Amino acid sequence: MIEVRRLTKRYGPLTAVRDVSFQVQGGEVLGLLGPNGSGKSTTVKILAGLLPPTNGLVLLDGRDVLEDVTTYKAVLGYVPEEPHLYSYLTGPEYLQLVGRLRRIPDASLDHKIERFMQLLDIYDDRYQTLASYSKGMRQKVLIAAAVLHNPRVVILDEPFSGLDVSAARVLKAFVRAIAADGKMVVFSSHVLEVVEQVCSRVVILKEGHVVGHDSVERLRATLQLPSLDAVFASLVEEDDSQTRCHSMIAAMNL
Amino acid sequence: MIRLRALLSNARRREKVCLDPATPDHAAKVLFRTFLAQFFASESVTSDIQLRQTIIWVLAFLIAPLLVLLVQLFPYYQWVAIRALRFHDTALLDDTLEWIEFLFVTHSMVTVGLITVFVWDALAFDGRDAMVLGPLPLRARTIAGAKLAALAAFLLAASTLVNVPSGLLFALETSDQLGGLAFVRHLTAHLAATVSAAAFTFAAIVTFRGLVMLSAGARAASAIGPLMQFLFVVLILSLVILTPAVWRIPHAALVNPTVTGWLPGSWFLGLFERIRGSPRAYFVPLATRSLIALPAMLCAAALVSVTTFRRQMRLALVPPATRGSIGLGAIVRRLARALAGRDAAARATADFVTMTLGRNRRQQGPVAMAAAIGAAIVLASFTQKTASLASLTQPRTLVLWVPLVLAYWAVIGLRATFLLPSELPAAVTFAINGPADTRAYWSGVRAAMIAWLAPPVTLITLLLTGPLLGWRVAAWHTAFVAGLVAALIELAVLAIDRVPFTSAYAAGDAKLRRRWPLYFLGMYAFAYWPVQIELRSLRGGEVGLTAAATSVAIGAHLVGRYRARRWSVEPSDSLGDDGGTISVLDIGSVVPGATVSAHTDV
Repeated sequence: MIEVRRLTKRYGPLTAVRDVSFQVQGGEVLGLLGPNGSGKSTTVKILAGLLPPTNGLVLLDGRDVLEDVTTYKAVLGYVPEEPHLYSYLTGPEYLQLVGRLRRIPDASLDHKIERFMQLLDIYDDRYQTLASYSKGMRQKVLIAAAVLHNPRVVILDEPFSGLDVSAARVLKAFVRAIAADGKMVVFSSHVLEVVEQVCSRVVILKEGHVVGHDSVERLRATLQLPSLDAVFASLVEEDDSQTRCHSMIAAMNL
Repeated sequence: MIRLRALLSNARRREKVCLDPATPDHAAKVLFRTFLAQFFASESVTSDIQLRQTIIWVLAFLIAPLLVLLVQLFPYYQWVAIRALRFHDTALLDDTLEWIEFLFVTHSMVTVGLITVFVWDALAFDGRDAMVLGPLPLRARTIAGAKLAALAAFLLAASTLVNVPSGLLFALETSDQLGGLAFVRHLTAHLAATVSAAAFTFAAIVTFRGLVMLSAGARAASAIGPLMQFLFVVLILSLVILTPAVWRIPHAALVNPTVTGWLPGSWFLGLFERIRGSPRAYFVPLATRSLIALPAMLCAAALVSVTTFRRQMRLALVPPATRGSIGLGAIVRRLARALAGRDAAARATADFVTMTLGRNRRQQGPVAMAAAIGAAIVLASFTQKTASLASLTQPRTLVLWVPLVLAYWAVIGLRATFLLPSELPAAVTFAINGPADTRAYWSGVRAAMIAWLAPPVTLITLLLTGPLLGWRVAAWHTAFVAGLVAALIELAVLAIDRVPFTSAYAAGDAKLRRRWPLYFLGMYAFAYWPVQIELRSLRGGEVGLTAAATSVAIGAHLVGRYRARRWSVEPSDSLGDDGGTISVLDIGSVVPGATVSAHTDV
C-alpha cells in the first residue's frame, strides 16, 4: 500500500501542496483530479520520486520511500504529463535505453519491446525517429516505457493525452487490468469521463489541498449530484462556466 | 439564387479575412526576423548580453591576426612605397599590394566561410520549418523570399563586420605615401573584392548544402556540417599560422594567373586590381571571371534554397520507410556496448552517449572544432619543421606526436560537448529509470569515449608511422599511444560527474576561454614530453614505457571508479517543465493570438 501522509510542498513563498493525505491499495486505481494550479502535478512528481516534499511522508508498505528513493523507483512506473523524449532516437531505441537502465536482460527486453510496439500499433514506425511521431504515438512509447519492467506502482499523469479513441479504449482497459493484477495505480487527469470510467476512488485537489476524497459513487451520493462532472464543478469551480463561455465569445468578437 | 451567391461570396470574404490575418508584408517581416534569429540561436548562450560578447570574441579572434599582420608589414610597405615614388618603379609596390590583397581576399573567404558553416543548419529549410509553416496561410513566395532576405542580411552583416575594419586599416596603410585618391581607390577596390569574395563563398556553401540535401537527403546534409566546420577551422588556423611562412615565398610565384588562375581568390584579386586601376593585363580575365562567377553562384544559391523549401514541404509528412544503413555510428555503438561490459545500465549509457554524439550536429560541433585545432597545430609543425621528406623517415617528435595531439584535442572537444544539453526535459528518463549504482554511468561514458577515439587514433598511428618509420616502431608506438590515450580518457572522465547532455549548460562551464594556456600546456604534457621520453626508449625501453602508460591508465581508472559513486542524475526542479525547451521557430506573431513553435532536437 502507498500512503501519502500530510504532504506539503513549498516553492519559496508559494505553497503548491498543503497537508495532502491519501492511500492507494494494491488492486485499485486512484484518480487525482483538480484544475490547473491545484497541485496535482507537484503531488504526482513527489509520488514519482522526482521532487522531495517540504513536509510529510510517502510510505510504501509502511516504509518512507525518501529514505531509499532508488529502491522505490525500481518498483515504480511513471508516465509524465509531457511526452519529453529524445527525438533523435527511434521508438525501440528509446525503450531499449529505458529497459537497459532498469537492467532488464537484453533477450527479454527485445522481445518485450517488439510485443509492445505491435500491441500499441506503432510497430510499423519502428525505424522512424521519435521526432516524427505524433503526440499519441509518443504517449504510447511512454506508456510502454513505464510498464516495461512490470512495476508494482504505476503513476499515470494525463496518460491518454493525444491518443485516438480506439487506443484510449484499449489503454483504459489496460489500466483497469493492471490494477486487477494487484498493482497500485495513481491516475491523474483532467478528463472527468475517463477518471469516472477507470478509477475506483478519486482525490479532488483545489489550491493545494484536498477538497474531496472518496469513491465516485459515494461522492455523487453525498453531494446528491448526477455525475463526477457535477461533483467536480461543485467542489472546485468558482464561477459559472456558462458565464465564462459567454465572456470568451465576447472577447473573440472584440 | 442571387441571394445564395451573395451569401457564399460574403462567407468566402470572411473566410479569407480569417485565413489571412496578417498582410503579406507583415508576415514577410516577421518571418525574416525569425529566420535571421535562427542564425544566432545557441544552447550555450543564455542571454543577449552573452550573445553579443560571444560575437565580439569571435570577431576579434577572426580579425585580429590580419590587423597584427598589417602592423607588422607597415615599415616594409612604407619602404617599398617610398622607393617606388623616388625611382619611379612601381613593380615591387604592385607586387606587394597584390600579395597583401590576396591575403585579405583569402582571409575574407575563409572567415565568412567559417561563420557560415557555424550556422549550417539555419542555411536551408528543414522539416520543422515545413511542419510549422505548412499549415499557415502564407504564400511559398513570401516564405522563400523571407529566407533569402535573411540569408542576404546575415551575409551582409558577416562580411561587413569582417571586412570593413580591416579594409579601412588596409587603405590607410597602403595609400599613406600615395595620396587621398589612392585611399579612396584602395578602399573601394578592397571592399568590392573582399565583400564579393565573401558573398561568393557564402553562396557556394549554401548551394553545396542545398545540393547535398536534394541529392542525399536532409540527414546527410546535416551530418556533413561538423566536417565543414572542421575544414574551415583548419583553414583559418592554417591561414593564421602559415601566413608568416608563406610571406617569404616570392610574390610572383604565388600570385601567378597561370598557376592560381583557377582559384576564386585570384578572381577577386583581379577585381581589386581592375577597380584600383592596375595596368597589368593578366588581371582582366581574372576580374571577368569574378564578375561571371559571383552572380552565377548567387543565382544558384537562391534557386537551390527555393527548391529545398519546396522539397521539404513535400517530404515533411512522409516518414522514412526503412532502417538507416549500418554505418560508422553502428560500429561505434557496438564497440561502446562491448567496452561497457555486462552491466545493462552501463551499456545503455554508452549507447545513449554514442547516439547523441552521432546524431546531433550541435554536439558534434565542439569535437570538430577542437580536432581542427589539433589538425592545424600538426599542419603548422609539419610546414615549419620539415626540411625534406627523407627527414620524416627517422623517428622524431614531429611524426610521433601527431596521433597524440589529435587525440588530446578530440578529448578536450568531447569533454566540452558533454556539458551541452540535448533535449533537457527528456533527461527525466534517467531520473526515473536510472539505477542506484552510478558507476554504471561512469563506465558507460568512458566506454563511449574509448569507442569514439580508440579506432581512429590507432588507425592514424599505424598509417602514419608504419610507412615512414617501419612496422616494428609503428607497432610499439601504437601500443604506447593506446596506453596514453586510455590514461587521458580515464583522467578526462574524472572531470565529469553526471550523464553527459542531461543538465543545463551554465555559462563558462567549459572554461575554454580562460583556461586555454592550461589546455596548451596539457598538450605538451600529454603529447610532447611523453614522445621525448619515448624517443630515448626506442631501443630496448619500449616495454617499460608502454607499461608505464598503462599503469597511469589503470591508476586513473581505479580513482574514477571510486569517484563514480558520487555521480548524480538528480533532476532540477524545472525538469519536465516546458521552460527547458528551445523554440527554433516561433511565428506566433504572424497569426495574432496564435503561438506556433517547434522544439529543436538540439
